[in-house]
Amino acid sequence: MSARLRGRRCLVTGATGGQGAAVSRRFASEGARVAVTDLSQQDVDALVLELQALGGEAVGLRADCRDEEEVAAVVELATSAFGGLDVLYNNAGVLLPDQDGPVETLERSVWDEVLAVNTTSVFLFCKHAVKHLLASAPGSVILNVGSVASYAGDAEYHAYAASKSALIGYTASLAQRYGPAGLRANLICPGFVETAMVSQWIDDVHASAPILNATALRRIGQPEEIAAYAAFLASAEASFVTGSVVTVHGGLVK
Amino acid sequence: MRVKRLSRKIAIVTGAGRGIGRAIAERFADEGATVVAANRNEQEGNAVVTHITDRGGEASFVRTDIRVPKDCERLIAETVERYGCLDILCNNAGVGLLRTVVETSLEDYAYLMDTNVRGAFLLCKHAIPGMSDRGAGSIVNLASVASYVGFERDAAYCASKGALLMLTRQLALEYAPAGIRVNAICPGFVDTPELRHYCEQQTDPEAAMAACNAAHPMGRVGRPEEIAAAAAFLASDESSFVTGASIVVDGGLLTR
Ligand SMILES: NC(=O)c1ccc[n+]([C@@H]2O[C@H](COP(=O)([O-])OP(=O)(O)OC[C@H]3O[C@@H](n4cnc5c(N)ncnc54)[C@H](O)[C@@H]3O)[C@@H](O)[C@H]2O)c1
Repeated sequence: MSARLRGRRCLVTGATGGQGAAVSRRFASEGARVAVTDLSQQDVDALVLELQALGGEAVGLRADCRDEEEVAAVVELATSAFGGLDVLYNNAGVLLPDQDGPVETLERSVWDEVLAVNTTSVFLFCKHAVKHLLASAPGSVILNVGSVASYAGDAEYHAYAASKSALIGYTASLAQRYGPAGLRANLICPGFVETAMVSQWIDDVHASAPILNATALRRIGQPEEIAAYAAFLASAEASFVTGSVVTVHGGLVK
Repeated sequence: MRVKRLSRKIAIVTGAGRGIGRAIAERFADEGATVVAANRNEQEGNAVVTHITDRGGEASFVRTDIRVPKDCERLIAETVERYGCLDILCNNAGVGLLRTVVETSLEDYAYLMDTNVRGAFLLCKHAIPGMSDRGAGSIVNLASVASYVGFERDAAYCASKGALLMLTRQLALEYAPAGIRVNAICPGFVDTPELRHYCEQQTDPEAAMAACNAAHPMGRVGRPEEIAAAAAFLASDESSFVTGASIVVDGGLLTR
């Protein structure tokens, strides 16, 4: 593995999830110092040990990303442990397949919950991290995780689609506002990726015909394939990439 | 240690003589690829090849005018004859034309479309059967921010880049089952001889350059190497789940 992220101070949210863990590992293996956060302290601790075993410097703290005080504590931990922050990777997200839906079935409380995790948490992490990211600009970057639903919507999961599409406008706004200072912001939009989020509603992801038929490559993506793009975007390789909506969907044409 | 992401790959880069194409050819070679530098101008093409081989890379030149259908066919055939196969096709060659639709002559139009669209179309046409037989290939097309938004006095160019982006999506859909990925890069303004030349032609060249810089929220135009980095990613197996996509490398230009 090359070391395009040597010494870069990164914070990854939703870090013990499928993509979050793959991204954290990839960042660490490219030389980054990685702070990780997710809901369970136990899972966070296990991931920190794993990242350290990869030879990287790592710290972690549990937090509910809906809670501003807990978010602030995570940013504080990361910046004091590493002396600053270069990369914020907002990956925490939920899809509530049994509760999300169209107006006929969607409860207000579910709508609020999905937007709190997928959208408001991104704002909260930015709110507390931007001053640190600006301090290490030019070269620092915010990477938010959207979805193909960000721009294509979703017939089934309306709150999810709304929560993820808000990130298009928000990420573009961050890019415009902080571009002059050299802080970049981009939105990564995965297609179907083999993680708990998808397997929770598709028993056997490999046998799932509709997904495979909608995806030109006729397969589901692997978390490592998202991580590869994330590493590129987090590095100086992507120094002119900002305000971009980046798709990694195997040709999921919607 | 730097990992070489394109070791043992055979790559064609069109318009490799200067600017973005040259940066891509050099980057591909740095990543371990054997590069076929296709160019209209022989001197420029040979200079790039020499530069690459001087640094220990593998490259050769094929004189190609992508407006000439026979040249397109020959470029692919030559490459396969020389190196046995083709893994990566980077359709970079393109031309600009600052004219309104009313000012654009039929000849202008044909010149632009034959270069920017038909050239890429034909190279894909001839490259894909071989890639398909081997079940692998990556095609990277240089589209533009003009694939998404209009620019003043840029009628035929905007139309051509819109077409190239849609061709990218269509080919991705068609050939994904065959193992071929097809993606586009949409650069903002990039510091190339072309851009310099354009600015110098304006009444106030410095103001023109300043305006180009100011069009991007990052306050500057891009560097060819920054486009080449995206091309290397899309050409490599690192982007194995990316197809039918475009990466906008524009310092934020399209956000406003
Ligand atoms: N898997 C896919 O097909 C897919 C497709 C498009 C987008 N995405 C997006 O990618 C991101 C990563 O998802 P994944 O596929 O790895 O799924 P995942 O379920 O494995 O990971 C999501 C992580 O977010 C964390 N999280 C959820 N609620 C939280 C909260 N309140 N506070 C803190 N952390 C919380 C979870 O604990 C989990 O670790 C998400 O934003 C998701 O919406 C996934």
